[in-house]
Amino acid sequence: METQAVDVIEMLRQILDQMGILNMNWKYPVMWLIGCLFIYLAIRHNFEPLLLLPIGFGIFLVNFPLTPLMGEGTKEGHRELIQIFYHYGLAWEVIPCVIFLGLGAMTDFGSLIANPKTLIVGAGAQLGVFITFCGSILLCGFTLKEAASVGIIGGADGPTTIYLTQKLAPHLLGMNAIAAYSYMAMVPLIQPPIMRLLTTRREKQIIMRQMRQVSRTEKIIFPLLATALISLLVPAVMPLMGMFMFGNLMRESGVVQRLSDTAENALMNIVTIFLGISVGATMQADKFLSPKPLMIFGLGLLDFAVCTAGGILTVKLMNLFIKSENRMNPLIGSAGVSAVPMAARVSQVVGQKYNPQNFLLMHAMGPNLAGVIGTAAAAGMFISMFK
Amino acid sequence: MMGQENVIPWGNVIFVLLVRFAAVFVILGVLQIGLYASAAIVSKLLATVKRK
Repeated sequence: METQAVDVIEMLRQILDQMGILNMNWKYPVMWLIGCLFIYLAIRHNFEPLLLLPIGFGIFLVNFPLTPLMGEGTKEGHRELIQIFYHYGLAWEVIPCVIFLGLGAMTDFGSLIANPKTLIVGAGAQLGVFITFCGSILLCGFTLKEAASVGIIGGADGPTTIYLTQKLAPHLLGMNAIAAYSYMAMVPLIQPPIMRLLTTRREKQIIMRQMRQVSRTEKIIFPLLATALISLLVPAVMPLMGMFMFGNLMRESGVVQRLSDTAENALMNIVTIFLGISVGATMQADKFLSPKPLMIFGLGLLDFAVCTAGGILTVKLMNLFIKSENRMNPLIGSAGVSAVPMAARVSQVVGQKYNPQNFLLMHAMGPNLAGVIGTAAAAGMFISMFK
Repeated sequence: MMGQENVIPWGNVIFVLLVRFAAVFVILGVLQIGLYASAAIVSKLLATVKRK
């Protein structure tokens, strides 16, 4: 009788031990709030909902005790569900490259081909990436590799940030990805004050010459040319850029409509789901609740602001050497950060406030696309530095 | 947080960063020249085809 009673107590103890509720601590509810904040921003304010919603739910989902989602699993070689998505999608660097394939299939490089000098604006807008690299080491004591992964946030290019962080500082993946996507969502809030501050009224009103028509042949040559040149100059980023240009070639060739359509819609949507939930799931309470994420968010904001300023100042500098009829409106410089096409739209909106006859959107798409290539080039520089 | 990098040679780091930043300009500059060249070649080819 007594033995039976002991067995029942033992059984009850085991049942209780396997319940999450007895393993709770204060960190979990804090993470729930953070997850719910992302879900709220996505649903209520429409801030990058395609990413913030799955990221938010990923944060919420993994921050319950004993949930078998992000562990290595008990059986050998048997990982848990989200760990599988993370391992094969992010740790193997597949998802960022597939996203670039979809982005390539969505992108029209016409504005960049029509006005190739805007490529230089995309390079100038990487200023913040290098300044933040130094700042991260000096102000926050990050290691060189961590600093590089934090610096790239300013390029406002989510897949490149994930790709570089995974290579150099995988433990910062969740924080860096969230900082990059948060600032991309906040482009309309962060950029306009910097744009107003750095340009005169007269500069804001510059009307740019209409762009020439770009032939289909040029659009087909572009991905081939860019692939060859980037491969020769920064081979380290070819997994990203190669996919980007392949997606674009499928689009511009016009003969593989089904493939192009799949890359930009179905495939892109599928990988976005796995990307979002895996990134969110990396934000487990024990790793996230420390001063580092706050530092990354602070540095990311500084980075993004300096990159915006870098693009604007590059246009102003270039205008000194360009004939007056070909001058560029410095407001398009802010689009030199990636964040396609949000940053270009911001240039259009701010430009129209000062001159309702001014249509800067297509002009700003040039620096915007140059920013994607520039950020990848900067990432390639960091990868080759630490190889 | 600093890991094994206790003493950072700032002179070297800044020089390397400047060179790398300049390299980004070079990469995009080369692409720019490539675009101008390909535009010129394509327009000449199209003009030749039209004349024929």
